[in-house]
Amino acid sequence: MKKEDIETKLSSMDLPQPGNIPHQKELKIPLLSYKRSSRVGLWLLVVPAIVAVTIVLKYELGLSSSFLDIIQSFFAAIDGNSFFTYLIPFIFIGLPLLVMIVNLLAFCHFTVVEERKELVVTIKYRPLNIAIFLFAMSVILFFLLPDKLSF
Amino acid sequence: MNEEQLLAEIESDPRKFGELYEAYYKNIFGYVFRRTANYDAAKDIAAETFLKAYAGIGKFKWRNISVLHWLYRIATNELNKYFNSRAYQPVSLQRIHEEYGIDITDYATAETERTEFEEDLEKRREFLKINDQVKRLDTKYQEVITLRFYEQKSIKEIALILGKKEGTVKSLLSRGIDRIKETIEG
Repeated sequence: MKKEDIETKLSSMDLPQPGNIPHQKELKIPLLSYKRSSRVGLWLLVVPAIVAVTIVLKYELGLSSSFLDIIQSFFAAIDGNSFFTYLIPFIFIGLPLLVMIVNLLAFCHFTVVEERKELVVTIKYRPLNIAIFLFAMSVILFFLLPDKLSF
Repeated sequence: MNEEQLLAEIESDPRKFGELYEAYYKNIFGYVFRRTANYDAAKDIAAETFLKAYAGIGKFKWRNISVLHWLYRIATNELNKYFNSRAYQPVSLQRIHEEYGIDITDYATAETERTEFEEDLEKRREFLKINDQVKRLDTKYQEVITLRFYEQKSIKEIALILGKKEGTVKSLLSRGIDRIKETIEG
């Protein structure tokens, strides 16, 4: 057999041509709703975490440094501004709460079994999401302690 | 479809990726199915290809080269993994399964669809015979032969998809055909 014959054979094959692909539509929805990792929610904790750490280091442990003083005076200035005063509960309670919810949904799955009238809660072992959830919760608890929301 | 414009829209609204999916899923699934001749593997590899493309669409820069070529490249890499390992692991699909507990390739219509595809494939005996010979070749020959003869891509397009020089593609194509000839004659 000549090389050209092989080429002709390859070119004239009756190839499988998937016409209708029913699963194409079914795959599209989960594909596009595939959530990126909820770890991105971590950045929402940055501001409250900095403040919490500053308070702990400065007032609870009695440490002193110019860096802590700068942070303290920055947030004290914000605290003194009447407009920002309204934002403080949102920043220190609202954002960590949001982080908690996002991460909770990443490791907890809720399924309603209608036949048995049951709500099945499955907890996935996702250490990072669980750790972020607990950290966000501790930040909220910290700021809910008396006298923590003002400098 | 103006792909350049669509890519810009995807940057601000990732869900617009659905338009690329609608336009090209058939090409990619068809390509993978022809190469594997296996419905389940094709389904997994095509889904993995689009998941990877969806996750990495931000890295694709428009240079007057269709996204389809990029999708072919991702699919080809996945096919290489499939052919080079006994147990193919679609990483992104597995991650979704582990993290969210869902198998996005578990379609309601999967069983009926598989039967239809397999029945259709069995009718194409000549294709199956040649495809078996192609599958025995080194991956580098399989890639160029299938893109040329299964997907009817030009040498230039194959070079773009595989990131190789046109001369290299021509040479691989010629040597791949020689190998098939040897198999038939031997």
